[in-house]
Amino acid sequence: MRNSSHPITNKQKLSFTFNGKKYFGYKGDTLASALIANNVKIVGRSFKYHRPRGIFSAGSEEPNALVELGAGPYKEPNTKATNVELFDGLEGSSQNFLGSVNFDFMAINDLLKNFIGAGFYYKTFMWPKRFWEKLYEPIIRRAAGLGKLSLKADPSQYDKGYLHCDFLIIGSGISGLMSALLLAETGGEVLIVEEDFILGGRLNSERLVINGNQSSIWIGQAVKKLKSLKNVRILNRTTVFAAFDHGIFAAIEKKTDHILEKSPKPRQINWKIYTKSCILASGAIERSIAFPQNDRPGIMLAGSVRTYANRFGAHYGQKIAIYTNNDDGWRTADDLKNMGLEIKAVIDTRKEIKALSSCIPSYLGQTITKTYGRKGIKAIKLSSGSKLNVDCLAVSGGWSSNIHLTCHKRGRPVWDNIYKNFLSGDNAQKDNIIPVGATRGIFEIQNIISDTNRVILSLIEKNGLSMPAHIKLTSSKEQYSCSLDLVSSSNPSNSFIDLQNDVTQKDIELSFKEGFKSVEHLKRYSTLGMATDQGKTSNILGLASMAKLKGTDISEVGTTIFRPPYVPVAISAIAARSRGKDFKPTRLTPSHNVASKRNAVFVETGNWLRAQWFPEKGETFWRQSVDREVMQTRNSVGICDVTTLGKIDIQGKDCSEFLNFVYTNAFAKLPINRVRYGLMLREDGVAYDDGTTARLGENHFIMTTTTANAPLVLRNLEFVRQCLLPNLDVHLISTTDSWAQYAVAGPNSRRLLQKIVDKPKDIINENFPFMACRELTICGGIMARLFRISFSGELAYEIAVPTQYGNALFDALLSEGEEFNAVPYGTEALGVMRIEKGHAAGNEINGQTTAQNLGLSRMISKKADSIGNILSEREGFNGSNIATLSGFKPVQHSQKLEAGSHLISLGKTPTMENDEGWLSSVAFSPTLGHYIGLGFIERGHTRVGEKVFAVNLLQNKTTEVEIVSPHFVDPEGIKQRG
Amino acid sequence: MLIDHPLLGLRDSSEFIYMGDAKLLNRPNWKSQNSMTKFIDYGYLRKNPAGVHKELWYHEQGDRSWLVVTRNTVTHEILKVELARET
Amino acid sequence: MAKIVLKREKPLNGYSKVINKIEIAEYKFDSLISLAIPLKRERKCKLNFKNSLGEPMPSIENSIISKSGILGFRIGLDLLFICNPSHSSFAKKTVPLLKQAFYITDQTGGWCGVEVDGDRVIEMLERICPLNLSQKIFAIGDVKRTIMDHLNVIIFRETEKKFILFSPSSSSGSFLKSIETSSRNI
Repeated sequence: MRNSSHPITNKQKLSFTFNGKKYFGYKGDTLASALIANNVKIVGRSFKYHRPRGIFSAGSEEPNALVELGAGPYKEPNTKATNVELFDGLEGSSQNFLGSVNFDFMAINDLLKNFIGAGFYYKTFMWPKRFWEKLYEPIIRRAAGLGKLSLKADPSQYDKGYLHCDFLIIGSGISGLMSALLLAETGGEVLIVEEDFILGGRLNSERLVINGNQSSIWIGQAVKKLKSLKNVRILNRTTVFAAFDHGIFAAIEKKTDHILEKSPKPRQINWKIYTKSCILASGAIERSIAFPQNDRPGIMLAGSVRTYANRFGAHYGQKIAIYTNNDDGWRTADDLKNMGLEIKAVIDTRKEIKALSSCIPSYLGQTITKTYGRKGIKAIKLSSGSKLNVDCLAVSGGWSSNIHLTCHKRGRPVWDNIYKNFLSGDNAQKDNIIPVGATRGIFEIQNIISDTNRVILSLIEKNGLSMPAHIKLTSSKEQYSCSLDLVSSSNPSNSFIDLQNDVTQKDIELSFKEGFKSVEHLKRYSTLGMATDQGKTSNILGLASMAKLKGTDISEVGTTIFRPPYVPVAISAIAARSRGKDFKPTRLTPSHNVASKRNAVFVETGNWLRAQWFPEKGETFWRQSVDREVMQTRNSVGICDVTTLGKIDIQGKDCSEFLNFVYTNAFAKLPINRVRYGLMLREDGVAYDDGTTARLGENHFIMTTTTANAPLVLRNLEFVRQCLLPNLDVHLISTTDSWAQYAVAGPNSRRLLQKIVDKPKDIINENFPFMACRELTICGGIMARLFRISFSGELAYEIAVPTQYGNALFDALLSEGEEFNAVPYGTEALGVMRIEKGHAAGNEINGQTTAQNLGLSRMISKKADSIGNILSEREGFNGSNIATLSGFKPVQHSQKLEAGSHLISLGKTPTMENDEGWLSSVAFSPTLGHYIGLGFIERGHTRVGEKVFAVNLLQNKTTEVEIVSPHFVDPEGIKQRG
Repeated sequence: MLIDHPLLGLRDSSEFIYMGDAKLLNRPNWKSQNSMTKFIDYGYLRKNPAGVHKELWYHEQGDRSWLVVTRNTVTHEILKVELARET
Repeated sequence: MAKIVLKREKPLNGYSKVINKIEIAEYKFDSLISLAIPLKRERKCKLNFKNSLGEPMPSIENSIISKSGILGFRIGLDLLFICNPSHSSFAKKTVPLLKQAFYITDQTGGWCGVEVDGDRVIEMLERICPLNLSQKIFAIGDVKRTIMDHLNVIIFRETEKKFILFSPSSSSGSFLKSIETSSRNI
């Protein structure tokens, strides 16, 4: 019901639907307050027993009112109605029911409650084991499920961001606002983060007086002042959900959740906040009391009943009772009475208290032993036997400081026996998280004001900042004391501890009996305190219950600690904009545009997109294109973009000493304008990377690395430079992106390049032999580098120009090459030709093979130290039996080879013991007209001509292959030297 | 996590690459006696204490410097940050 | 002598656009070189730098702009960048002078520059840049190298609300998309 004289009724009227029915609310409502105003009592069904449940709280501690919002792909399950800001056109619905929320077929579980207590599933569905995955689990999941996902991609946008401040203030209640006002005066950057859509925190829920006026006046003044300051930033609708090391916090800002129209702006922003200090003004959370049938709709936390009445003018029913173990419950009685509602009774578990409100009927030292009304509370029965008819029961088990974030770095809470409350331990202070106000266990406003002044001023003093004057506020006087009467003494199977997980007092008893007595065991056994509310209203009840069973105090029982996130966070918000193709950046090669125009098929290699092959008209199958590219290259000339290979510029007086150390082979005597192949090992002696390194000057080398290892090799070279050889004068710059580099291969490659270079004579064989390199100019003065190296085995070059000329050069090579029938080729043809030539690549240098396996052991110079040199001598890497790189061809030329096949001697069975090696790379060789393969086989170099089986157990295929030289094409290297 | 880079001040850990125990700085002499054993120790035996630990971090997305970070692996407190080339 | 003319293409083809009042434009430069300071030659390099460019060699994360508009900044213990917008005698005169003290690497093709300018630039950069952009920490003329949306970026503050961002040229399309998305999202 709505109090028609409440100011909210002057605000904009909003219409919304819940479970298909249309209702009205006001701007400023939450979904929960609007539902209360419309007297909607059942909002969901409980997790396990499917009992009808109503709104229980007024914040993110809500265990019951989980609803689905939105429709279609926008649907979001498990949203707390208490946190949802009402907007015109909102569509909400209950979840976890079969049929309708008012008549749920799954409620049969409630009648079976005595059989399905804690641990029931673990014990019952153990056997037979194979039934678990297929039968039991899906059924249980459906029955116990929370909301349902739409199973469609979330079309909303999300973003992330970074914020920096000196003081992060979490919460904008009185202590948060006071802290902000004080800290702003130091000149430091202040960031205030508030979960609610309005500032003021708990003050909005109370009828407190500050400086002689209702507190909203003071909030308005404080916020106005803060908004006027340049060094203060305020984020509302933002929840800090995690605390990390070194003053880093994570928060979700809800940008458009309160707007119906689908906005092109991000729905939520995942902020990473860096701060020097954090002021934790997150307030306190009220807890419940366990008593029989304490979960009926209409039974709510007393503070929340007060919030709905004071802030929203909304309440259930006319006959309200309050059940409390502390002074605060009485305030709800006062406030509701003030609204003109009938207070049937205040039942206080304590016998002796100061008369707090003499004109309210009170029952002291009594408990509630029974409640009535399945779909909404109708009556309660007291321990004295009297029965009272009520339509709303406000329960207060006292307040718990909201210290969640102080536990994220394993801070251990400590028990405060005065206010019966866990406070943050010493860790929080060390982590620069400073609790203030109710978070610090101070619950009376006059004390919060004085204590916040004291805590913040001492922080300012400690940091040596300019001291502001303390804030003088007069306020109402509050008094708060609390007992620990939290647990019922009768009917434990109906006394709910944790509403969200349907954990009853009986489950705690069962846990105790079965030996799960420590809090950590209790939590896992009973699921107490798990799921979306993380037991914010229930943990203390569970601990009190266990303490009672153990005959000890809560301080002895201890508590589990909280972990991130403080509230559920959508996975989409964590992913933010890194979705689909935006998950990682894309790197394009300089020839990308020309290749696209020529219909190249691209392949992702790391972040790079590389042309894989270039289909021509009439080609329907990739092999047609690849075979053509290979043959055109071998017969005339082909051009391939090899820019992606890592290119590291190495300069300095001690370059050659450095290269001698990082490569296994010597580079010191490499003449200027010559290129040498180099092999790198890891320190453990395994082959790491290979490539060519060119010497452009006495103190200047260009190293190439494989595409995949480019950043890793640079990282490792920097390690050697800075950590192992810091006294050498060596400088390393990655120039991979600076130069466009193309392989020009085939018998006509020189003739083609002679059309491009400014001095064609410079590159004739006599002046520019195999493994030569030089700087020259092309196309009328454009600086270029030419390397006479060959991966294909053909007469071949690699030409490099500054990247900005790369696209034009690729185009020019193709158009100038037309007279030779020049062809662009992709990574597949590149791969085929290197297998034909017998060059090792990533499949061979795969982190498991050694120089010895690769047949390169003579490249390990023993004259000087180098990375991996010593450990390459290990016994297991050497000896006559090791597998060596060999070539393989099918005995029946029509047969296909499969990479990954194992090599077994003829007549032997394919077992681990008989395994002699494997095929690492295979390809169809258009040059030879049959499949060929590279691989490793024991003593391969001594077994040329022998026939073995290539066994592929996955495809159940055995192929007879002949061991041959790995150099299928031009083994003497005549072509590349020609 | 933030690392107080000796030249650049506090920088986010996302700019860094981690390489573990800083003992990798002490590469054995290849000519020493038992060099094989020493290299095996160097390569395979790393400390991983619960407590104060000297570690290598590489500022890959920054100035490309290798750092020696003395860090408490339990509290995550960083006690000292040095340039590896100056240690 | 070949008569082929190679057209030079900027990574973003001279892109320019205004989104949410943020002016985003490719920052065009004629050349970009890096200078490495040889081991233990800091003093010699300082002198050479002053002679070559007329300005003192900047300290780490600081920059200079020479009289002819050349931007120089230092990114590490032994590494500087010189970005030359259009100065014609640069390659012929200045580079040979610098070569007498520094190791020089041409990186013109390696980087893509993007200028972002406008009142909401900080708000936009907050979405991708992990650095504290407060002027107390990041003053005008400061330059830092960091990671933005998985990419290595050098960020230079020209004025309170204007920055130049240099990112690797091969991924400049992805980085531009990051900037555009950030500008739209504020």
